[in-house]
Amino acid sequence: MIDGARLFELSTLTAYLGLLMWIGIRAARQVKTSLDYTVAGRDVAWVVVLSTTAATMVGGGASIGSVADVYRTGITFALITCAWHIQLIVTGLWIAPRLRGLNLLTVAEFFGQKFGEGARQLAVLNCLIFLVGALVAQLVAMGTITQTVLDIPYPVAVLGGAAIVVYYSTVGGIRAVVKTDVLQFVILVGGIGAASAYLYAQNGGFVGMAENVDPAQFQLVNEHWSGIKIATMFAAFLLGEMLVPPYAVRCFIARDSRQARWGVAGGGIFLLCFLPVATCVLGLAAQSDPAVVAEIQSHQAGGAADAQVVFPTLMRRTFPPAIAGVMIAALIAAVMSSGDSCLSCISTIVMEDIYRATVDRQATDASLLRLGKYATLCVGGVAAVCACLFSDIVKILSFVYDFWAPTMVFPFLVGIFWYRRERVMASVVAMMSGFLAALSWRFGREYLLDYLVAQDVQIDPTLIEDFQPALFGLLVSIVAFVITLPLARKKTLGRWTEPLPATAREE
Amino acid sequence: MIPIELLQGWHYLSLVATVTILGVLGQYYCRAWFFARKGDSSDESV
Repeated sequence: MIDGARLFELSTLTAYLGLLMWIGIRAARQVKTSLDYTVAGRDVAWVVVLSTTAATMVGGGASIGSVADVYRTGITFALITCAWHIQLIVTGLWIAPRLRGLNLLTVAEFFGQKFGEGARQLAVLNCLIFLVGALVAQLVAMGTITQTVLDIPYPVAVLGGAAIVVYYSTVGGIRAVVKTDVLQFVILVGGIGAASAYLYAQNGGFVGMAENVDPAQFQLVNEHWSGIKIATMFAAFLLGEMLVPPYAVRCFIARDSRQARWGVAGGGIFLLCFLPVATCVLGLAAQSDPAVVAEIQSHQAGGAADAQVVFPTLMRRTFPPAIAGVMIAALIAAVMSSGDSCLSCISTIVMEDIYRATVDRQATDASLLRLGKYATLCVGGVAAVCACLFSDIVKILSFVYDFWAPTMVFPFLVGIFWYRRERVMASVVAMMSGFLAALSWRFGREYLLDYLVAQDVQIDPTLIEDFQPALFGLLVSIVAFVITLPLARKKTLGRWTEPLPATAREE
Repeated sequence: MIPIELLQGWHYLSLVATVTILGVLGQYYCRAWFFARKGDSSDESV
């Protein structure tokens, strides 16, 4: 039996999901060519780029995950997350205009044009590892949130939410993704902003909250946060998602270089003003209300993770059902808007980097468009089934975030700011070294620690345990580049390191 | 200890930023809707 409050919540959510479907169907009417499907005809205004970039940035981790982390460990976590937004500002101001000027469709295309076929294939592999991992992780997050909030079975929650995302992404491509992102941005920002402002006033501001929570919550370094952990996590957050395909595509879809710059940088500036402090208020408000703390503890005793329960419990305890429904829709919006971007990028990779680049260079636009739709449908379906069958997969997939920065970021920056033909070999070596170093550090640091302990070496174990694999791999890739550069100026590996010509397209 | 005054100022900045960006977005879509109704699609995009 559904009570009145639950019915209100469900009605709000159903209306929101129905609106998403309607937007997707309307967007599909504007898709005439493969360029419409992959880069929205490169005709998106800066304020829309800003909204879609911000909505994509704020996924499950940056919203409910951050609130739960602030609740558990203090506001240091929220300050560290500033690195995500600073990264967007840097990308927008200095990288986005250059990327937009190249008229690219995918990140791998950039690597092919700068560093040749070997780097292109390595980039395709890295993009797919990142995107598939992120997509499944967002679907699992969507399933666990919906399951907790609506009290429905997990498979129904995953498959129901995924069906909506896959539907509008399939019929409307990036046009539907961008349009739905704008709605998701409004609900997300409006919902989180209103909740944060209300709770701030209700709890007497930060002064009032400081009186009701553990004082350690306000300390930069506390039992949860060592100096080395703060520094390496900040660096890992700054570089770990730099130029990943969902952000790079936001540079490609803008009307021109200027709109790309202010769209992406504006997204970062807005989020830097908005998100860290909102997550601080929500996390501290949850901790300062004994009723909320008691309910969270009862959920945790039932085996639920912090991230699943802190935000929904706070919303339910604070707001009446109709408003709580909007707030919960905001959570689902956060996860959906990140998942749909990953799905759209995967379909573009299948169309351009795999099919057009290796199977049929003369493929017609109609066949590419058809392939893109099938790819979106199939990848989305398989990802939903994987998220459904293996909900623990998130723990395994968390490692995919460790590989992007070591392999891609440094060569990407070399390609944009410091490119010369004689630096191609060194860049390819840096890509491979970074990948292998991150892999070794991710899975081998425990053995290294055991070995050092066995050899009686005096070392602080947290120095090794807390040192992020992404950062370690990135440092190794920079060192490999610097060493290889003078040795391999004139060396090549034939066609593997021969920069590829730009793909001719009708734009 | 992280200064509380810093967090308070940041909170008010976040409110101003939120209202501003939602206003700019609303104004953009109102304009796009207006031009679409007049049959001039030059200012309408996603």
